[in-house]
Amino acid sequence: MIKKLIPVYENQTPLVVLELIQGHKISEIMSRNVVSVKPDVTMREVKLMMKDRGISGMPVVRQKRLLGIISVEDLLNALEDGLMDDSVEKHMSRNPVILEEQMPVSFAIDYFENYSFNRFPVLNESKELVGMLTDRDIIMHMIKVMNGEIGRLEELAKHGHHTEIGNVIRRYAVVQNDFKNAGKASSEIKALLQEHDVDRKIIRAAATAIYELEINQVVHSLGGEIVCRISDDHVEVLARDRGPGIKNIDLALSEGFSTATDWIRSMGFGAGMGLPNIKRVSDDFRIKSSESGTEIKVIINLPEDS
Amino acid sequence: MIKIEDITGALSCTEYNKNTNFCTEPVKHVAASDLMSEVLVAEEENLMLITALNTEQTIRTAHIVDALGILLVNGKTPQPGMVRLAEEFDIALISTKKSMFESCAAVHSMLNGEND
Ligand SMILES: Nc1ncnc2c1ncn2[C@@H]1O[C@H](COP(=O)(O)OP(=O)(O)O)[C@@H](O)[C@H]1O
Ligand SMILES: [Mg+2]
Repeated sequence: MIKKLIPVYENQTPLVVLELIQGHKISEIMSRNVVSVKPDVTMREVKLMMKDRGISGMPVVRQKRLLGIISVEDLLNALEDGLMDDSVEKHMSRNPVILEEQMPVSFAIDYFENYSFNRFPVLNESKELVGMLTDRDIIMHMIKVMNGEIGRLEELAKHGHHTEIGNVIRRYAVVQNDFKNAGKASSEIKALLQEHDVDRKIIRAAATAIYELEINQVVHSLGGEIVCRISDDHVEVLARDRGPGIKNIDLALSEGFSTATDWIRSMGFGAGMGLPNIKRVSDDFRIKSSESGTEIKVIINLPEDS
Repeated sequence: MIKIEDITGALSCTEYNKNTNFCTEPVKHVAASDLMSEVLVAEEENLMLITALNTEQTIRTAHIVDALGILLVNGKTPQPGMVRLAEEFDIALISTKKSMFESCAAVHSMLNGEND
């Protein structure tokens, strides 16, 4: 395995960390109020702007189109050669390496690893400049998500190890096309319910529902999460993903309907029985979906003496 | 009573994992498919799974339906990780060179034979 600067590997890194970097888009973490300059501004003016704002590079833009990047290094060169009255256009670096706002944060991390730049311009689908991304933005994002995650873990730890069911919460990140880890939520919840001597049929129902939800996120979504809450009298499973959503829910719920490709079928999925299976085994089933994601909430009751 | 052990013999299977009940627990039902959601439709107990799908997801699916074992057909060998997972979940894992059709026919007549 190639030694990387940032030790993140598909198969060794904890899911929460993968989720951190693959589950968020650059558009969520970039700075949007970009200070840019027009190409005809002089190097002298640029020097003042950078000094005032304490930044080391600026995008050069004409009508939202990115023309290049002007950096402190370019300024120093111009200063040395006495060319400070030249326009920025003459000294900027053209064809800068750019990021796109829809890319996952993991792309940006790779870029920072592979290039020596401190900042990357971010373009939208129409190739317009919409933001800038610095390594600082990534660090801030990581710290923010980590805070939330650790808070959650502390909350869980406070409740100690449970000998009784009653408010066990488990959250699983699901990564697109990650067939390797699909099914882990289902197995873990199954093991938990077995420890509490829940009836076999009910365990089977819960494991089936969670598994089909995991697989659907792996196969059909851009990734998401599964949150399982076990209380005294029911198991609640909430599956949320980041899109692209289900176009026709009634059709998707009908037996045998599937948009799976041949490739997915060769992996054992795409029978079009997933959603019908989930519905069949659950006591309550709710689904909503839009382009920004699908949310399915399922309840499986735990009878009193189980 | 047909056990996984008997099926192993009848179909000249290679054994990749012997579960604890390999020689004792009877197979009463079979789910045969290469698509895992079709297996999850089954509601019976004492199931055996017959499939050509040799991924870890096969084991995970078998585990969900509490299957006793998995018979891989068409001479499929388990992919890495499959045997370890079969051991962890205590699920028998055997493989035959016979086709899906031949395997199903053979197991079907074994199960039927005992009902006569
Ligand atoms: N999380 C999801 N995001 C987007 N589409 C989904 C999702 N889950 C299900 N679908 C759509 O609903 C269809 C039916 O799902 P399902 O019954 O599980 O069958 P299958 O997964 O075998 O295709 C899928 O083919 C897919 O088009
Ligand atoms: Mg499905």
